Amino acid sequence: MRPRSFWIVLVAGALVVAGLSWAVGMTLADALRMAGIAGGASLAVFVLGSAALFALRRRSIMTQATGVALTTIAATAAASVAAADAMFLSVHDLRMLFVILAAAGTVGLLGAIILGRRVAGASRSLAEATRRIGEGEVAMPGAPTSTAERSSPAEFAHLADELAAMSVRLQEAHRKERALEASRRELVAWVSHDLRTPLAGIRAMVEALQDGVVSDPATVASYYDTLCVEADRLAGLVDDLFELSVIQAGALNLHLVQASLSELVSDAMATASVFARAKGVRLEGRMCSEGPPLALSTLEMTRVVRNLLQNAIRHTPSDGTVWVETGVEASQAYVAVEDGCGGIPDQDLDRVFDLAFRGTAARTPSGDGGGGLGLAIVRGIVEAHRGEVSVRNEGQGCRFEVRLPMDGTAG
Amino acid sequence: MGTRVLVVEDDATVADVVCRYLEREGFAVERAADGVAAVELALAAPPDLMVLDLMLPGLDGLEVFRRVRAAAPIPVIMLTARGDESDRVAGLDLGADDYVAKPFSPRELVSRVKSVLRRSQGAPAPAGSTPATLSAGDIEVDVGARDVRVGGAPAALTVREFDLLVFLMAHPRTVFRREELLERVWGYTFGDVSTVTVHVRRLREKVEQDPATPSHIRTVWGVGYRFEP
Repeated sequence: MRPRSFWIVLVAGALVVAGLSWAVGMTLADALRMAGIAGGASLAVFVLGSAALFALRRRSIMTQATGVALTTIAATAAASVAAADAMFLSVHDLRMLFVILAAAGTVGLLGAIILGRRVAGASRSLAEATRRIGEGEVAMPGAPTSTAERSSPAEFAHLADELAAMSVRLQEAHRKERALEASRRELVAWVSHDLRTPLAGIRAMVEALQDGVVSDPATVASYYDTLCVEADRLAGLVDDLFELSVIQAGALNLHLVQASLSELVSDAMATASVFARAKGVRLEGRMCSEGPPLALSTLEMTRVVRNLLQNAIRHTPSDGTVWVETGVEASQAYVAVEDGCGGIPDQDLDRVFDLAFRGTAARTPSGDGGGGLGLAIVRGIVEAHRGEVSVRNEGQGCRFEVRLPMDGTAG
Repeated sequence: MGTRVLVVEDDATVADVVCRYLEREGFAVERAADGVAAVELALAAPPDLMVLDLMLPGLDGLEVFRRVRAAAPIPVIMLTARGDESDRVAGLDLGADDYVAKPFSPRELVSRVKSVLRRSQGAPAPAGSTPATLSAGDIEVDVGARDVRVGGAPAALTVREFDLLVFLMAHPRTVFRREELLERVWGYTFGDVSTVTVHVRRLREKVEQDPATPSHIRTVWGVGYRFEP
């Protein structure tokens, strides 16, 4: 019992006793004597009952509830008998009192048993729900699954809600775990396949040169050129893989300096324009507002913008346009890149930043070095800057947005 | 008209080298860079052999294989860049005649092409003098008719499975290392011995009563295989 409710009951009880004794016209001395006798007898029984309840403390809720009821009834009975004895009632009246007490006690005990049963039932169904959650079943918060749960006491209902919420969180954690595991497997497949592909080309060409299968000078020269390109591609893939493993290991070491995002974007556009021209893609952009310098790693953030631009140019058909926008919005600096890829199916939008995700089943990288790790690297670096990256379909293609916080405490 | 080989490979460099090697050996070579074109070409004029990359744009290599095989029993050598053993042998499990893992030697590929063609064009098994019929337990083989019966019921064996079974039955109780089998049944002096392992597994599934505890094609642990009549 909480101390506050204890005092409330004590004071209310004293007031009732005083009020009743005044109403029946008892003298103060009589009232105090009777209250003392009745209270003392009750207290004695209560001490005995407490000892019994202590002994029962590990038994079922029902047994304990019955014990509480029995103690209360016995205390009332003891008080009545003691008071009756003190008042010198006739033997007949005393026997009547015993009959009344026996009847009232039986009904009280029955009530306690019914109540205990309900509480015990609620506790059992809670245990059952917990077991189900343990077995991986999801319970919905606020959706009781049985009558016992619906009518369970407030504490149990609260506990059931907590359990349900916990099971939802558990489920979410399992889902994330599985997604991570799947992306790891995908990465392993990626490494295995995409590193082998340029190697296969190199191996085949070298052997062809050795065996003199190609001999005319023009073809031989083109083979040497291709060998260089393939070796570069392999080096690029190894670079990406290295970067990604550093990001995933949480070992990305950002050298933060105060720098302007829009300037960094402008530089990256200048570099990418060569690639865009070669593909016949227009690369255009606009600086909407010049934000204050941000604390960022210029090296890594340049890589982010470069990857986004390369990705956009690669997926835009020739004669298409890649649109770049940078500015400040809602205390965030942003850079957005819109391509003409024709849109990404909705179910794939979430996955474009996953490891080694490619829109098509064809996994042989095109000659421009699209390794499939570029966007995963983008996300890793942006998140290390406490920023966020998102993608949505817009116009002729999709719009990638990187948003960085402007409070200058990146990392 | 010479022997026609269809090369299905989306990597232009690899395709170029493979085609040059095959042309140098006197084959009439056709090329397809994606799965859809490959199926069209193969069905329009079935080649004598197909070299098929497993990962293709448009239509996956395994699907190309299924569609082509459903129409004609063209011998197929698969190229795969996947590292996982189970991925590598997926093609063999479907019934491809051979597979080569990337990066590969084009020289080796050519020798495999020739070997598979030799077998599919009905040259005698390289097992030397083999009796006309063989039998062991409930397995009966009519070597000349290339007919295998297990407990009286015909068993559908691929060319290599048949060769392997005949070779093992012709040399009962002799232990062969995987490399030896690769050389004497396949005619390869180099290559990946897991080809042998996969074929032994498939063969057991077709001729053994209980493939998990084979009574004829026994594993000699740490060495190779032995046929127990």
